[in-house]
Amino acid sequence: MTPPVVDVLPAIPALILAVTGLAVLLAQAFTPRGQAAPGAPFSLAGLLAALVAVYLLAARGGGDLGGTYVVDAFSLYFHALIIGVGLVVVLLSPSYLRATGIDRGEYYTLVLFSLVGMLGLVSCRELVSLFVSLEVMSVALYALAGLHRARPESQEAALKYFITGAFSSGFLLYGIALLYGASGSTSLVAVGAALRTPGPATAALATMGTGLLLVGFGFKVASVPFHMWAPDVYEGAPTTITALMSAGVKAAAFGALLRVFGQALPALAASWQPAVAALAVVTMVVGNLGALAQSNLKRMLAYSSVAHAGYLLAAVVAAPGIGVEAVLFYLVAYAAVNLGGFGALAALARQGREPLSLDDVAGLASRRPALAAALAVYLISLTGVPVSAGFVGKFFLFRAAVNAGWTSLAVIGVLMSVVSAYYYLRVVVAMYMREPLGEDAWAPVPPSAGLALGLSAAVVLALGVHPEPVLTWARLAARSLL
Amino acid sequence: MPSAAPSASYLTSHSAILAFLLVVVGFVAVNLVLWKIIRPSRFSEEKLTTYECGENPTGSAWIQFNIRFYVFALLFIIFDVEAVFLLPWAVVFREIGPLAFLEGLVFIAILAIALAYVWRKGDLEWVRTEDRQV
Repeated sequence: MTPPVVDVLPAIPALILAVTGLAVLLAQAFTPRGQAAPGAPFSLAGLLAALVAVYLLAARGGGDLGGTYVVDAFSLYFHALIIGVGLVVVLLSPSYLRATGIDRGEYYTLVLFSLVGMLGLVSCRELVSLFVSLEVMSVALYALAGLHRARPESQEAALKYFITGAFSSGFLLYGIALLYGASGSTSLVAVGAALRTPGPATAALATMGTGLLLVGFGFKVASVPFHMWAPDVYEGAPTTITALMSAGVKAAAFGALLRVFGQALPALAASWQPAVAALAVVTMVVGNLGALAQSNLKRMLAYSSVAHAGYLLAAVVAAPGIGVEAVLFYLVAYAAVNLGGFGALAALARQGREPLSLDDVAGLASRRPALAAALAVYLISLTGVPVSAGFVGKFFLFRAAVNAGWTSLAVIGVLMSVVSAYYYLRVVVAMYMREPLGEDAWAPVPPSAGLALGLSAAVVLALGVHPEPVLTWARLAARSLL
Repeated sequence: MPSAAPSASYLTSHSAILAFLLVVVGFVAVNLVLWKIIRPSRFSEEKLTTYECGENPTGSAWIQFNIRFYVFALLFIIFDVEAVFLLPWAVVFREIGPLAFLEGLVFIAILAIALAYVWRKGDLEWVRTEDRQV
């Protein structure tokens, strides 16, 4: 047996984040009691270094680690997105952690580890390493969801996330096993080749495996009917972690979904497209109607995140093909908006409390004009009003669905966007047209959180006015998948 | 890893497993039924008590354990997993050469960091140092 020649360069961004995570862990352990560990600066340095590594990798044209971990244009696109999400979350975190009394170095370690899992999830071209990446991401997030140890909601969130997460991992693993049984390989390319000429027995196995994979991914992206955990977990988890989950996890899970269904299962498109379309419809309808009934802002945004999974699934139906670039573009727009939305709530946290109801944000425009304006931008983008990233993104999503012959999906999507205007704009109305209630209970916006929120708002507006560069990149990434 | 295209033979090659499964289940079932018929059954109170290596059982098993047992069980897993991965590593060590040494070193270093973390946090001691200070 000859020693395998392994080119580790493609994994450098993930390795940098992993090493940074370990360094933060050690720094936390060796910091004297009573002093704060330098978690945030370490993490920022690591994330910036990883971003530089991604840039250098892109200049080198990507790479391939033994056929299992592939850095092509598709994964580079997601690398940039996920590391960007990580940067914003780390910028939002210090003030929020201090305000809620959970300022521990392990927080940053776990965030970095979950980012490593996300990078693996979008880069693995082999089903078993894909599963391992998924678990690396999820296990760190289970712990992060329960970081508010004294709050029952946080404990509930951690337990629910863990149980449903483990359950969905089971579905995914069983699906992987059936695909392996049908094709004799766990490599996506080999599975795709084997399924192009299936026998009757393997076709049945592969179809069942595809269905189970769809259920597993359905849990991860929180699509109806696998969304029940999302509102409780998003509400109970620390708000910065909710931002990470709604932006990062969703992006990584959709990345893996597109890669698996685009590279391994295009031959079965006729059987999974109707299923995905059905998921998209119920997700759009239930997500939006559920959001209408919420009075808690975090729960409202959680249901909105479910609804957006539906919009994205509508374009996944059009994959492999024109749908992919629409999904890629919308994931960036959606990540910026969600980081901003949850980040704005986190930035105002003071003494363990944060604004959660419409009364809490009433008249915010007169007390925190900049923050209210940014939050308004995010909410308008979520609605899908022109000159925001949300409009351009939804336009491409629904156009992809129409071009692929699924016009009804686009019609339902547009109708549901109209419904969503009610609950998004209700918040804007409360901020701008109501008088503030009582004393100003909220913290002044901390500089680092302000920077993060400003960045998100800038991305939202820039993508709304001039989407071309990101769109070109998304197109390039989508092409590398085919 | 099989590189040949899968076919019906790929599935039939696993039929041995099915046969094995049937034999195993059948063997157990036959024995259980057979002994049930043959053996005498004379129950007494002694025979129905929980077996605790010859000791008389006392109290219920549902008692509160010290939470420290849980932490130690977690710590045990660190070394358990280490052993699981190092055994196959040792088997192919000679064939892969210096690269294997390097990779093993990285793996052990990561576990050492975990151990250092646990040690600094005082979780290696039965009575934690911070508890003592209080």
